Amino acid sequence: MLKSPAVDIRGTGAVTPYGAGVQSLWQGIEKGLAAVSPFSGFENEGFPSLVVGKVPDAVDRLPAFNGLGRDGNRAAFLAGIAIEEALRTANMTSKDLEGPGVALFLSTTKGPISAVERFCLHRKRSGDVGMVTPSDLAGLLARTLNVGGTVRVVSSACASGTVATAMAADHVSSGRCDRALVVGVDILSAFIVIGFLALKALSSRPARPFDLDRDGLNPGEASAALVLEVTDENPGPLVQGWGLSNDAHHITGPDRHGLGLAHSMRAALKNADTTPDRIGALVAHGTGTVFNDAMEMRAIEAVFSPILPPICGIKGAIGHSFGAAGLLEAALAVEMLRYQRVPNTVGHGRCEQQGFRFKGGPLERHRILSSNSGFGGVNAAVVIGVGDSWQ
Amino acid sequence: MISGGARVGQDGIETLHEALIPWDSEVESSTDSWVSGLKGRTFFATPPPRFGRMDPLSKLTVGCAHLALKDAAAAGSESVPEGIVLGSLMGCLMTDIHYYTPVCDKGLEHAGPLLFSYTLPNVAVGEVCREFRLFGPNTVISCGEDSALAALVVAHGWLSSARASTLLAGGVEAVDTRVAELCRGDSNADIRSSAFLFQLERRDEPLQPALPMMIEGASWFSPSGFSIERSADLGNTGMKRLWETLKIGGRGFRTIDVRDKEGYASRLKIFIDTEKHGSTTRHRTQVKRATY
Repeated sequence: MLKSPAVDIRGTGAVTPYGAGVQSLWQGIEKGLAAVSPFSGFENEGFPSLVVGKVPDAVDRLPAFNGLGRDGNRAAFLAGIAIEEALRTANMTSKDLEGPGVALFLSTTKGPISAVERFCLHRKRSGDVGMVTPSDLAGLLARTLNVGGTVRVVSSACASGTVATAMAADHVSSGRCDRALVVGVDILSAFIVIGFLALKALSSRPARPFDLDRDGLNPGEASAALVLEVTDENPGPLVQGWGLSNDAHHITGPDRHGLGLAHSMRAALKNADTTPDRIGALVAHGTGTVFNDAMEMRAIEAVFSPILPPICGIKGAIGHSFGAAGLLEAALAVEMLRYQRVPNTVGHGRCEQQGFRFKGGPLERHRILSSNSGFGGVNAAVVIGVGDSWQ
Repeated sequence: MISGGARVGQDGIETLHEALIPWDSEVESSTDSWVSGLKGRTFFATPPPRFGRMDPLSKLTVGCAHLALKDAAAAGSESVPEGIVLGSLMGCLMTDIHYYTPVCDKGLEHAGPLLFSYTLPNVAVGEVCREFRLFGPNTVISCGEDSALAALVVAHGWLSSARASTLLAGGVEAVDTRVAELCRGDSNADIRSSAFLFQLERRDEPLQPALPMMIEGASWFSPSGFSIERSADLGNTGMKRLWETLKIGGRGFRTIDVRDKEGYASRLKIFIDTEKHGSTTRHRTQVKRATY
């Protein structure tokens, strides 16, 4: 594997169940606040009680980038909020994202799923359904931004955000674009929630990642955005390496031994030209499901033993936002590097295994490994770190 | 290097090194329904046990992958793919509708957990990885009607940067009349299921091809879109032209490009030299008719 030049994370943006802004995410996680709550908002009859991570209604009144989602398209709206902030924190204007030198990578699992829900509910297409495919959503974002470079949707289930970050970083570092905007978004939908109910994968309580008593995930919604580019001037947090793998084991159940995830972590470390002992913290997938979390702990042990870095996960705080998750975790990693802190894993209480640390504390090394796994056996990991000159 | 390939379409199945095997009965619907009835024995002497439980997108992807791998092996390749890049515009939309319609009609308890598992397009990739033991990089990308061509561009990049030495890449579309109604407002709209997958291998010596070589690829977007009609081949637009180019052979550089109404565009440059090394097409003496 060729060593890729590290790619600068120039800007980050997020909208989560805490509200708009990466800072609200950081502060909520740092304070150990859970933003998941009971929910009964779906039209379908017969829903059991749910705990979800929903973006608060107050966000609906905020302006999204160039009026995205003004037509009621919630995925576009949330993406627009995250893009607005990513641009602002990158000290850029919309002009900086125009033209053939800019690429857009959209990470989503179901994109504009409402169109499918309406179609199935009414048994026919009702008028102009608007966008239907994730590709339609990416096209809308690209047109609104006036992006002229590569535009791609990345669909790798719950690992989509990390895969999209990796692909965008690769695109930038190989010189195929000057700058890339990576956007992740998924919205709360009956379609997804009913499916996870059928799989018996939801918890009726706030999720407890890596906890002895974990019993499922909380579905959520969110959007996050990163602006990536290679710069020689004052490089900040960097995407230093990435790795992708497949369990080749089962379409919904992870490999119990965590071999696939360990493979992607090792590939990311190698690509970043670093070693496990130089990683200061892990931002784990940590859905709160029995098998995912057990698999992750096996993989982490396999790669990092004998001394495991501190681990944090965000899904006990804000739920699982699927296509946005990997990007939110990358944005959180940037804040961890900024504040030199590892936050608590909200919802975690007791762990059945020795050597794992889920309590917050100082970040002692300036590299973080963030990873995700998903249906289809996909695993992805990125190393995010800072250069020596970053303050 | 393109060491092997296969396609599955309304007219039958074909590999790069063998002639078309037509289906054994007429496919009458313009929005082909053949994809719903795919059987494991269409592709495999002994189908994988899971094949019957897969959704149409996965069946088509796994079946076409098997043919592409066999084709590469028959052409002398000893490489084993490590990963896969799949392009698809419609993804699992057909499965989405099949999963969610009974939920709307009959209630929550009619949500099928197995069918829900297939409502992510990368699960088809997961099935390929599981069946053929691919442990390396894998993803599904979607970018309008050039999704499949863009998947080849991504695979070319991963091979060039040594992320992998051998990959499967191409495009798969599995659609039916309900997808046509949802996306085009007409259940009889001409949209087609098809699959094109290639085995791609990294070769460091440029322009010494025993087989066609991918030279470079690029994708871009035009915010004002392109003034062209929507293609019935969906994300596989361009694949037919690539396929024909590879089949016809000749010598020199060939450029395949796709632009779509939305604004997505991709271009792939390949080098072929079948005058020196022989055509990639060898016809079977006995053509078996496929079943579906």
